[in-house]
Amino acid sequence: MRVGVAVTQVSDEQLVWRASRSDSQAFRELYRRYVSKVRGLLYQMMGDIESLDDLTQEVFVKVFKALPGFRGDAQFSTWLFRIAVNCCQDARRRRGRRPVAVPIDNLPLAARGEDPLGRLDREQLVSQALATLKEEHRDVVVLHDLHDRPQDEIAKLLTVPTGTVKSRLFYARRQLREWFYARGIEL
Amino acid sequence: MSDPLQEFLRRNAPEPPAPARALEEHILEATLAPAPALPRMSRRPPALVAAASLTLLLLGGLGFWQQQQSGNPKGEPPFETAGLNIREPDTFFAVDPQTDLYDVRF
Repeated sequence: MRVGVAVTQVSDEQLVWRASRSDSQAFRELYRRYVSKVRGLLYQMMGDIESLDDLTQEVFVKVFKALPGFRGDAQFSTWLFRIAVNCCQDARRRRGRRPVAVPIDNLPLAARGEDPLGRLDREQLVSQALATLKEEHRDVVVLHDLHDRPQDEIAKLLTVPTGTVKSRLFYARRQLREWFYARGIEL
Repeated sequence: MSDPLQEFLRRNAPEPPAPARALEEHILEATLAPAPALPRMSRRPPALVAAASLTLLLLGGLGFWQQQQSGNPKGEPPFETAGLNIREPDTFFAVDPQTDLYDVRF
């Protein structure tokens, strides 16, 4: 029943409070609540499956270890995203190179009359499109368009002015539109 | 959502594969494990390096000081006195070895 679910739903704040006192059940609940969102963010920002589990572990261990110091100034999800973004940026620095970008010219263009989405899986297409973006543009698109984070929050996450977020979003979207247009998809 | 690009991206966002089954347990273990004590040697290397640096500095300073104190520096020609007009002083003090008294000679 809907009412029963609402009653038994424990808030993030309660779980955080319990987890900060080493309640393993609260850790599990927080993990299960956010693991798919965090993994999605990491995957879309990094474009790398191989290191995904390691990076997920790094994020959650950092978050859980830092919970006693979490003051609750921001929402738990915002704080979690901030740590995930930081972990991504650290991982990129460790990797020492930019993500494997797919040169636009090397990707196959859709033949005339062929449904381009029928040949390439849509998810794969979006993944390829994101891979053509510069890291800073990609981060903004992933956070804003895929994860619905507000621009002010993204500015804080990336420690850049809100105007920079807007401009990166503008140029990234323009590049993505051109990329899709070259494949016969007008958006 | 009005922007067709944003809608397309959201609807077709690349989904990551499911995490490994053991990941949750690994995270929990790593979180709840007591923090490992710092190894005893962890702070020692910087202290050793500092002590060694200080010793080297002192030894170097001492060597330099000794070099300054010891007569002619290397490479400088010996002081030539043959061409100089040096004469014995007219008056000087001496001690008589028999009487142990000071003696003034002219």
